[in-house]
Amino acid sequence: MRGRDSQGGDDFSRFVAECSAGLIRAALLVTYNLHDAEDLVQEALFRTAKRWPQVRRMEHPFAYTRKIVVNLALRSAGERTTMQSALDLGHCLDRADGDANGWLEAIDERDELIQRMGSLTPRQRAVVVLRYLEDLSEVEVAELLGWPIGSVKSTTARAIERLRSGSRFSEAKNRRNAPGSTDRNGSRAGEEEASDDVVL
Amino acid sequence: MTSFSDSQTFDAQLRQALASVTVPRATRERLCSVDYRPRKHSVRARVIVGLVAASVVAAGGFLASQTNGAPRTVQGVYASWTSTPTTPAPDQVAMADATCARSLNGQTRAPRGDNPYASANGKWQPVVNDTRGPFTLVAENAVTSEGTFQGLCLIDATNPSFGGSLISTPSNDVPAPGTIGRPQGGGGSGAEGRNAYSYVEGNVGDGVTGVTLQLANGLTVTSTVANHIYLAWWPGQTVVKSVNWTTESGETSSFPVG
Repeated sequence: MRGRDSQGGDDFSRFVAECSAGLIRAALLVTYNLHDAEDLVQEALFRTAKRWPQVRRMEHPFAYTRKIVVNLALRSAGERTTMQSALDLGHCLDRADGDANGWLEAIDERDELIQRMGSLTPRQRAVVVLRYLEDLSEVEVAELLGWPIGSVKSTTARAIERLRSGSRFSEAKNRRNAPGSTDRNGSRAGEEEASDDVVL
Repeated sequence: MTSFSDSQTFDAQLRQALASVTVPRATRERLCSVDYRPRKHSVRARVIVGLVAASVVAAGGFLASQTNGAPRTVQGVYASWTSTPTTPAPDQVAMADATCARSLNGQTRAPRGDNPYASANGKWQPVVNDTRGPFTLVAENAVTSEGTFQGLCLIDATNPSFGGSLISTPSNDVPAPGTIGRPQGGGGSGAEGRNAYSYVEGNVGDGVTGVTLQLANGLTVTSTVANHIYLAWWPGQTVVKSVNWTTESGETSSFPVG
């Protein structure tokens, strides 16, 4: 059933096989809903397939589809209530890579961070995913989301602040600022508040 | 309560935490099994809203259902599924249609960004209902100035909550009398990816009275046929091996799939 046609169907099948996991993970971390994530990635792949003859010639086809995924995820997640987005992602956490002493502790910290991610707004999750999972620069995130760079900085700062708040992370917060944090970017609380009102 | 050591900076921990989120294998496999190719003769777009009730996941255990004389094991939430459509309970179809329309309107309401289905908002009308136990697979059309859109919803009468959407552009060609079109299918994962289901839909020409699907696992599924459409769904991710159909003259035909 998969693509095998004159417009690069084999290429597209390979693209789907290689990129689908990364796309779903990004979507999942923005929407916090696996079902939604799967469906919107599928939608993004349909859209990509329509333009595949052009997309396949791009330097980074994955980036093209990722942009669709993230923006669809933001739209989808934005229509859900906070309660609906509070999904247990425990079954999606990889527990197989722990090693040596203290791996249980590390896993505990990871789980806590993932749980805290669920308390962020979808836009905050999106910038965190793009900055920390996808390793995009603030400029690249701003371009992908269509936001002013100041909004990216302030939204990131507010997200990181919320993730680091609380007993487990307060100590680390005092030691070092993460990329995009308030001090590093010079953003203030008022700017962060305003950033959540950015219209996509 | 633990805290970070000096060497474990917060951003490193955050990167590790994000990277630790894995995608279920079944989800990846489903995405890779979809045919994403645009249909050359497409005359309409279709919005498919996949759904499985969210909070009935915990319904556990296995039950055996009778399918064409052979017992088949159906798991958990789909235990009451049947291979032949069942007679809906009073108001079951009306509820399913209304719930599906609400969902489709929700999917098409968003005005922001790229929303090619905005014109379908508020125009959804049921076309086919395929009921199996408490579940009804609903196909609804929205006729707009930009074309006819179609949405699919799987509604659980015991818990009409669902979410998710995907888009495809299948052929809308009506087959010749006595023949049927090839099935277009897909599937959903259910809540938290634990309750996979599959469906197919296709067009039928005049005079076609019945369509059955032979699945790769040996199961035979009888479709609902109405309004020149055949529609069926089943638990799991088993693919269709062949499609068989019957005409009003009693003639039977089939073709392989895959």
